[in-house]
Amino acid sequence: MQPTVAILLVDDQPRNLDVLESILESPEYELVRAQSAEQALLELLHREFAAIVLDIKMPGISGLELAQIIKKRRRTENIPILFLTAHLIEEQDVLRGYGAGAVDYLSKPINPDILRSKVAVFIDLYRKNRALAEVNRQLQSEVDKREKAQEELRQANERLESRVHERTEDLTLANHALRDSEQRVRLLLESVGEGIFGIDHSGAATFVNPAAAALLGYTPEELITAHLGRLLEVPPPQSPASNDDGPAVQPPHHFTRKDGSRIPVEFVRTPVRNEHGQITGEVVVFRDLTPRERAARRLAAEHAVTKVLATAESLPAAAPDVLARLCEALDVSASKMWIIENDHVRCTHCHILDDSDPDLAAFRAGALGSNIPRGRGLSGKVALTGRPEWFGRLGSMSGMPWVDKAIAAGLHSALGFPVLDGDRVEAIITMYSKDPSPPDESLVAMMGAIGREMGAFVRRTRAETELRAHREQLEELVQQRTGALERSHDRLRQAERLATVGTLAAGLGHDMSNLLLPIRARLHSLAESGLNESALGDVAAIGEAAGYLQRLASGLRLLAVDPDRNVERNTGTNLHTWWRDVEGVFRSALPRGVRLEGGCPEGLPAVGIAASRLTQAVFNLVQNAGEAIAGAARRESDQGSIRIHARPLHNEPDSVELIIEDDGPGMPTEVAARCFEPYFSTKTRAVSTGMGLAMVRAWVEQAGGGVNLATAPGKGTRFMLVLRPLSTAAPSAAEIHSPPAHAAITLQDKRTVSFVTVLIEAAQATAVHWDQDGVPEAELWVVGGASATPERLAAFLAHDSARRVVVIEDLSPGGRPAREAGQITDPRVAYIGAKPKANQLRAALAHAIGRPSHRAPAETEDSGVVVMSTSRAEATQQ
Amino acid sequence: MTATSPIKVLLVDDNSILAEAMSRVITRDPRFQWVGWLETTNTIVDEVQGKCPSVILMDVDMPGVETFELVRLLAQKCPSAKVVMFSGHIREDFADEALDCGAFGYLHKDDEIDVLLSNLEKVNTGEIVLSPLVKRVMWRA
Repeated sequence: MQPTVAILLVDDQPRNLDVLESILESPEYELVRAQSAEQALLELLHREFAAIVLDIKMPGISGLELAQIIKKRRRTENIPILFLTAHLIEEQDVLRGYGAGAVDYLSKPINPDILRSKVAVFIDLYRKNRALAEVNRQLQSEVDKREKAQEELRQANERLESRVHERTEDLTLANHALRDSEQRVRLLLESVGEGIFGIDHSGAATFVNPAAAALLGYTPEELITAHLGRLLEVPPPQSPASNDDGPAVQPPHHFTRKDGSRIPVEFVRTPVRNEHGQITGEVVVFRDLTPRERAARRLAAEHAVTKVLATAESLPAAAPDVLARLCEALDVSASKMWIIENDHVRCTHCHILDDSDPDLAAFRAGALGSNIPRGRGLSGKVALTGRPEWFGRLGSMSGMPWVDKAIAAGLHSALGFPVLDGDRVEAIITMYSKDPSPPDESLVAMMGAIGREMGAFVRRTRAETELRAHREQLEELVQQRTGALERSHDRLRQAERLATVGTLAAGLGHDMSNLLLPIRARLHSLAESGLNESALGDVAAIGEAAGYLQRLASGLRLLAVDPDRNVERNTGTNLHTWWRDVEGVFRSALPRGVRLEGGCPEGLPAVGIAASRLTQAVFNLVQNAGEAIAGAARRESDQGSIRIHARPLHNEPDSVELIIEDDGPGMPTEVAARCFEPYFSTKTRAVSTGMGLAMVRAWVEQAGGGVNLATAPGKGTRFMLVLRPLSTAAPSAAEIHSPPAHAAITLQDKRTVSFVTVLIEAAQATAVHWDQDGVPEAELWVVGGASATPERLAAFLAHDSARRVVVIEDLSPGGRPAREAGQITDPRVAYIGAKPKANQLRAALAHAIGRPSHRAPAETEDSGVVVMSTSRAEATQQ
Repeated sequence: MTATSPIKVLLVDDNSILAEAMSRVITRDPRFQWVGWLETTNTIVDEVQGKCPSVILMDVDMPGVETFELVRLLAQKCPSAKVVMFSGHIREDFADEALDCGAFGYLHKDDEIDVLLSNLEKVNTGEIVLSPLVKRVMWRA
């Protein structure tokens, strides 16, 4: 039996509802009544209906409005509705809008069969729909199950995939890491400076890094097939059972390279074990000690060079040691030093490492002294560039004389570097090696450093040499100065003594004059007093004696005059009268028993030397001779004689030869050769300045003459003074122009006139008083300012350029000085103030006459102190 | 030179032997009149004013006296007496100073007696005189 289905009957008329129930009464239907739309909606909320029979015409919500509500609701939209209409035709269009099958209509009056039929169709449709829905539901359920299973499968798949993916990634990463690690290890092995190789238990190579191959001079391929243990003399690995583990540092060792050379190494052995812990081989890591040893050697070379330079005195002196140290320390076979000479370099030193090698010895012999132009060859190039230079192939060089010998000695390369003082190349060092490889940077740098150090050494030694020279000069100077000081002390002492002697002489002369004057005065009176002949003869004799004493006094005064300070105007010396004056003084100054003979005859030409100087010069010579004779004499009496004589010079009749000779002991040759040297003396300093003969010569030469000496031991000594006449004597400033022969004086003051007159007459000129208009005929005009009009001065001067004027101002009250009023600025006119001091007047006249100015009072203050520049003690004779 | 007006000469010198000899020479010479000798200069102004010499022959080296200052003083106080220095020194600077102080000359004791006497005559007339020895050093070479 079919399950019951509910049908909703909706009609506002319970009667109609009854009708409908009655028609549709069936055990298959459950009929639910609703009298309003609201009731119907309420029922629809609570249960499911298979169909609805709906009356269109109802109060409130109509059947159509209800139907629209039902159709809008999803839960009820498929419920078939059967409308009950009153007017079939009117409502047909409205109903059409609800779609076929879901809605139908039935016009009133209701045909029960149609109603039942229509409802039955609806119910059947409902039931089929329900059945289909059930099938669908079941099918859907199955589909859901299937989908669920599929989903689970998919998820399982995905998880699996994910895990696989993760695993794959891990693997890839591990793979990469492994590859990186291998790469690193490979790079490490390839790039480390240390040589690394593996050997198996038998000593065969298992791997070799490039550094190991390079250090040993093989290719890696050559080594990998070699028996490394034997090749390198590495002891075999430990036995497999050894428990020793970890790296073992080995003592220093040498590996033999492919070319046979041996390199110093230090190496570490590390055993390699299999999974059972047995030793299957080992890894050997080794390091080439050559660079380290080389650096040590270079350091030693630098040190050695520094040490050599520290004690050497010069670069040439240091060169042999420096070159030897370089050869030894740098293991080069030969080294040379070159110096620069003009445009060449010359090899001054060469050192070879092995003297017993004949080829090297020949190389050295050929190198020493060889010259190379600047810029050529290694040394020439270094000389030019001032930088270290390297020649790799000596054999390729031509024109170098020693190249063949270098090749014969097996030398392949050469390194040269400069000895530099700043930028200046002082020398060049070259080194020759059997090793053809170029020098590394550190070697070049070291050579540069050594070169600079040697340059600094050169500079230092040069400075030291200069300093030494300066010091020696200084010491010499100090000695000279000390000597000079001592001598000047001696001279001072001597001068003081001489000054005393001079003062004594002057005082003696003065006192003698004081006494002689009364004697002469009395003789004068006696001669006037009418004596008889005999008495007059006595007076004359006494007068003669007084005259002699008077001359003696004059001689003393001459001797006492300082020739540099107090020389009287030298008008020439008459030797005859000079001798008369000085003879007594000379004679009295001689030791007892020494005779003074000879003299100067009359008629000799006057000589240019001043009398005082001549006196002192001859006094020196006479004193020397006297002392020499006395010193050498055996007996006191009649020891010897000094002879003075004068004669006209043979070739120059105007000149005179004054000879002072003695029969004393004479001089040895070496003394005679030096006796005119200043400060030379054979006597102790206490009694001699050593200046006596030097001054004699100086005085005579200053006067235009000369001194000759003839002497020999045992033969006496003869000095010959050549005395020239005044005209040929060196002209003094005083004699630049001759004194005026005539002077005119136009002055008011009588005293001044008189003084000027006296002075002018003293200058051996005549003076006349000029008080007329116009200008005087004279060479000098001494004129008062009032008379010195510009016109008169100009007129006077215009006459002759040699004319001079001295204007003495004689101001009238309110007047202007002539030097202002006159406007004469001619250098030939001298102006002096009114009432001039005597020395001013003399100075002006001296200037005008052409005499040197007199000394200022301060300078002449002590001119009374008489200094004799030489002494009786002064002598160079024995 | 007239016998009626002999030149009055006064000597100032500490050397008595020289003074006596000079007095003898001057006294015997009719050109001159010896008015006296001063051994010291203590009373010189009074003496000069009293004796009225025409010429005073004055030793440069009077003990304890600055003779040049004395000459200056006498030139002021006794202008009619002409002072001339009488010296044993050949010193042109002494001569300069003497002239600057008002002396009429500078004579030397080594001068010939005749030269000395004629120079005294010149001084009396107001001329400046110099010993020949001093003239030689007035122009130095």
